[in-house]
Amino acid sequence: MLLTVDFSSEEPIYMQIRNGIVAGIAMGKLQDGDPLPSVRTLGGELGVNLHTVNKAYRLLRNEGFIRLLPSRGAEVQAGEAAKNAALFLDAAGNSLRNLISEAVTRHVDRSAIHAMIDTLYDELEGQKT
Amino acid sequence: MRGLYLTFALVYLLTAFLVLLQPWLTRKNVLFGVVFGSSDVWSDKDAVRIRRRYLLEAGAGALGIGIAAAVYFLLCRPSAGDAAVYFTAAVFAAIAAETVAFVAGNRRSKRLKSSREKDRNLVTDKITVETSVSEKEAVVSAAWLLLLLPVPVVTLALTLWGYDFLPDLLPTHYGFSGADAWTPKSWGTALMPVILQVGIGLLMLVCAYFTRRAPASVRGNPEAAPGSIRYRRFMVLTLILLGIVTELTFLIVTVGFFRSVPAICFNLSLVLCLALTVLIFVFYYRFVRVRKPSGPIFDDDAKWVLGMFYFSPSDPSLFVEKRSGIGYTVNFARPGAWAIMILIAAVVVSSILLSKG
Repeated sequence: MLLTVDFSSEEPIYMQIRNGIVAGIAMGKLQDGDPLPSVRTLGGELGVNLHTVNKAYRLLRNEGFIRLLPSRGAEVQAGEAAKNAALFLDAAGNSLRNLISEAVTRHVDRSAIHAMIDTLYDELEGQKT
Repeated sequence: MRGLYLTFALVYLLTAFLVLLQPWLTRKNVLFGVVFGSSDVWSDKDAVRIRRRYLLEAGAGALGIGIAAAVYFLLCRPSAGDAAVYFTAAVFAAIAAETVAFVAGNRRSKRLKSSREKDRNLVTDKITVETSVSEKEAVVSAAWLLLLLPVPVVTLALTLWGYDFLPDLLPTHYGFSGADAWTPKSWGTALMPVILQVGIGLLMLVCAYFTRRAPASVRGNPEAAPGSIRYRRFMVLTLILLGIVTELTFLIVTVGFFRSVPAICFNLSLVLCLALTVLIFVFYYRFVRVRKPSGPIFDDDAKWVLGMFYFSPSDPSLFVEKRSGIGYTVNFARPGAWAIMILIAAVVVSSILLSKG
């Protein structure tokens, strides 16, 4: 899969790497067991700090999208739940973009949106237990 | 003396020629370290003119210094020790003259680039990489580096076991016709080949280790530098092989302490090294030089100071492919790279000093 990083984007590079791989899984371009370059190799190819790549990979691992292999890089290891999440995140990106762009045009501060999301999460997750 | 002068002349000509060749040993969309969007620029009228001017300036510089040195040597006939010093100075002067001409070429190429309409293939803010290349395909396994170990171990074992059987005088220098200098037996002299093996082996090991991941000199997308992974694998393995051949040469020196070895053994290793060098050129031409780049190319001229020195603080790579010339260079923005440069200088200087002593 081709992964593109845009240095002029406002989105942090680690998020771009993470989103690129999530999108790859969601679109079926990345399958379980597909290899991913090691943190060092990817950092070198992109010319970005190793911490940045590390951050992206840790995030992907914690979200259940990849497995880190000591000294051999990483591989895609997304279970069904993770694949569904990938599909959701990829699809939700657009509706979220619409929502945020409306918020931006109405001069709603980002912290207000953050707070709204946190409250919703608390409410809904509270109901679950 | 005539043999010495002949060696000097050959080494001078070869070095000056290889350095002179640098602007031709690049991908075809790179002119004096300046990257362009397509390889069409190589045959561009102005680009040809810049290269021709470089050839004239650098060639005249190297030739002038060479002639001056030759005249001095023939008229003043310095002693062998002095001659070595003047010869080294002449080689460095030639490299410096050619480098100055290269920098001028770099400036002219930049001017050519800015005078042109902006190439649509050149991007300044995006890099695309292929993620499905596995670590195993992309990076030579570090296990290959272990091949550098056995020869020094055997040489050390041979020296320790055989020290008592060594003659009182040890042959320590070989000319074209065999041993031509001897040194009284001592542990220092007997162990010298092992010490040099360890120094050179260590240097090769460090260089090969970091070259394993060295990125291509032109980036942007996987097709911006076609063949770079295969070329890198080849170069790492060649470096290890070169290290082993050098180590074997010193093993022969140690064997020479016990019984006389024919000079042909040393010539053989020299021939082997030359053959490897030729192989590197062929491989470079076949898998790098003739391949055409395509897709978006990352415009990172600012990171290539004077078109030669790579300086990128954000890039974690210690080694990168050279922009001009065959091989790899260091990322000068990384302290580790400076440490390696110092190691290389230390090994080269101490082997010169030790082999003189």
